[in-house]
Amino acid sequence: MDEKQAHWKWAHGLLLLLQAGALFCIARLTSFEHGFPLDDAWIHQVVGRTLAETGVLGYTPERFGSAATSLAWGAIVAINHAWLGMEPALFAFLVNAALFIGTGQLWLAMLRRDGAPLAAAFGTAVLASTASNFVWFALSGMESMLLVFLSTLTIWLWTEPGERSRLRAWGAGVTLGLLFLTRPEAGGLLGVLVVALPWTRRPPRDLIAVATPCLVAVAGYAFSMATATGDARPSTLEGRRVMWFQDVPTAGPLELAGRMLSMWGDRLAEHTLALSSSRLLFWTVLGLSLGGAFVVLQHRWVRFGTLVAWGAAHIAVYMVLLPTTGHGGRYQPLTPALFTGLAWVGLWTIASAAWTRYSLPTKARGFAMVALTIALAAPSVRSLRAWGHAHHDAVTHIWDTEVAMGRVVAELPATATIASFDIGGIGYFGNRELIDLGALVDASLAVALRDSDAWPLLDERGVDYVVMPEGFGHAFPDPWNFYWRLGLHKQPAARLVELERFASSVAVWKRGVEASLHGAPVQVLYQVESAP
Amino acid sequence: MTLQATTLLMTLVVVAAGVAGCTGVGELRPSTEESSNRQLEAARRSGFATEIVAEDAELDTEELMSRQTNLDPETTYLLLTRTDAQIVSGRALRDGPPIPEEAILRHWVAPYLKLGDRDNALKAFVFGYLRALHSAGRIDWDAAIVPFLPPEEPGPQIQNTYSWGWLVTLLMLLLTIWSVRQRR
Repeated sequence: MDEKQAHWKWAHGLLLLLQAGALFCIARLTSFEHGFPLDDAWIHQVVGRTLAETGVLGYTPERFGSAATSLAWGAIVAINHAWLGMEPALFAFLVNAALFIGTGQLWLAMLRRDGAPLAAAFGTAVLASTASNFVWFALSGMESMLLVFLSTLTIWLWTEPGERSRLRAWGAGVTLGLLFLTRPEAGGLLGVLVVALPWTRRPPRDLIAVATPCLVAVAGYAFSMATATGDARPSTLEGRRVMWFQDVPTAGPLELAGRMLSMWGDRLAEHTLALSSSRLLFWTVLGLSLGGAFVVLQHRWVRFGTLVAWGAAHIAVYMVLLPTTGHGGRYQPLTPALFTGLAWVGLWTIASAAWTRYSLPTKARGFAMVALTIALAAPSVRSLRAWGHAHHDAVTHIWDTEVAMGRVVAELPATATIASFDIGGIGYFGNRELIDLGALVDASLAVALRDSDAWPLLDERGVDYVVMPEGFGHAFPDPWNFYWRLGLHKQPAARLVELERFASSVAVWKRGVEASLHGAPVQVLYQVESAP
Repeated sequence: MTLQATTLLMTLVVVAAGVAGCTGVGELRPSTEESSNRQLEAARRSGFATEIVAEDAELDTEELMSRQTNLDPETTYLLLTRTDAQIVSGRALRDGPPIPEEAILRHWVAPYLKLGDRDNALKAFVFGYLRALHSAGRIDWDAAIVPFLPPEEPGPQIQNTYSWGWLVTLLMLLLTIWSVRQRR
């Protein structure tokens, strides 16, 4: 083994250690017994359990695909429910941690194959894969890390023709198909692969190999959804749209897209760079990132460049379809990683130009390199530490409110009809049929949510109990208060009697919600009584 | 231009932009008052004439009220001082069901005043008022960006300052591109 190869092996080993350290940093305060930081992760658990028990991939056995943002992740979760029986959060973490480590290692390998110098490649892979917000996806219990891993693997197989070029193209097609089943919008990667074709030195006929499995997945998905629900689109799309944009009914697409970018700006500043006051560092790092993207294109780092192009295209897809970052930035999970990784490329380029121009001696370069590393690593380490607390508080909050309410719901009379806006922890621990007022199971219910008029629905379905997420002030219509957002304060034909209330302290709720946007601070159970 | 000159120039611009972009946290910015007034158009259009009366002094709202002349009984006044906030209802507001005034002032506005953050206190005040009217079905309102408002101990709201931030970003981008060319 020559010296160069040995250096790269060391780089992979060191990266592995740093990845493990980053995971530990965020997970260190939290027990897997207490579940997930997002209620949506519990929805995946219900989907997985339903598949394991009934063979139907959906929140309810009656409706294929219901409330399943990710069919592939639901199927993976089902493995645990069918055969392993581990703590749900531990199982999700083990799978996600493996995907997280594999992703970072692949990024380093891609940069190496692209011909990036060791320092540039290693710094980029480290800063990208230890970006705190990105690391948290491995602990979120969600499908985000699966999306990133499959994206990376698809790009790797496509841009690395190797000896068995055609086989790799088919492999890329299969992973792309899985990616589509992980999240349908990610099928857009096919467009990026087509654009990248001239730089991969592949013959155009390889496009058939990469597209065929993906198109089969698309057709299968559309057919299954259309058969089950009468609509080929994801069943959760309408409910999500209403939840995110109910407050801005007249905002145009450009305004919403602008807001989404602004949200990312704030998120990257606060939850990747850990900035709390001045934003100067954010704008500087953003400039370095954009510069880094330019360098990647300029040097024709085809493999990593395709990943960067996909990161940008994925954001663009969301700007059109669902212009929001999602909880904790989970909808576009590549963003924080590419933000910090590309910043290193930019910084390294500037530093290299400076010391080449001034002919700095090797020792001075070494010192400069260490100084630069510390300069960029310091915010990352601070942010990882902050995420550790935020993650712990988010898990605590979901456990103390949604999960606690789920246990109460389980004890309600067996014949009772129950409706709830949140259906994750409440659905998993309630373990009974719920009417989903968030319209993730049945998109037709989104109308009641959009029009802030849930009473006719509750009346029509004969609901006996309803669970509502609320703000700290029951009487105040803040955005967390779904009692108001669903128009329950109108109560034309019945009244609601409060039976149970679970709330987190402000401190616990606030730290979790700022980072992960997990949900409302309070869950309230009401009994529906006919008005006198 | 030599590298030294470029570096020096860039440093100066970045520092100047940073200084220019950093207004003190908590001060009431003219732009906030302006944008809040614009948002209140939604209430005005539906017959809820509303005005902001903000005074950067340590006095209570009763005192502030007593200093005002030519108050219009048709108009609702949102009074904000350094330490206090109050809603003085105009006719249209008085004639309908009450809005949760106590919740707006105690849960949303007061915590910011406690921190001395008048800028966010005003944002919360206007948002809470419009939200209450909207939720009661009394006005049509396309909400502004929903402020993040926990009811106690809120942290100061910091938004990215786009006016100068882009300049810094552009400079870093140009510096990177220039460095690529230098290395060739």
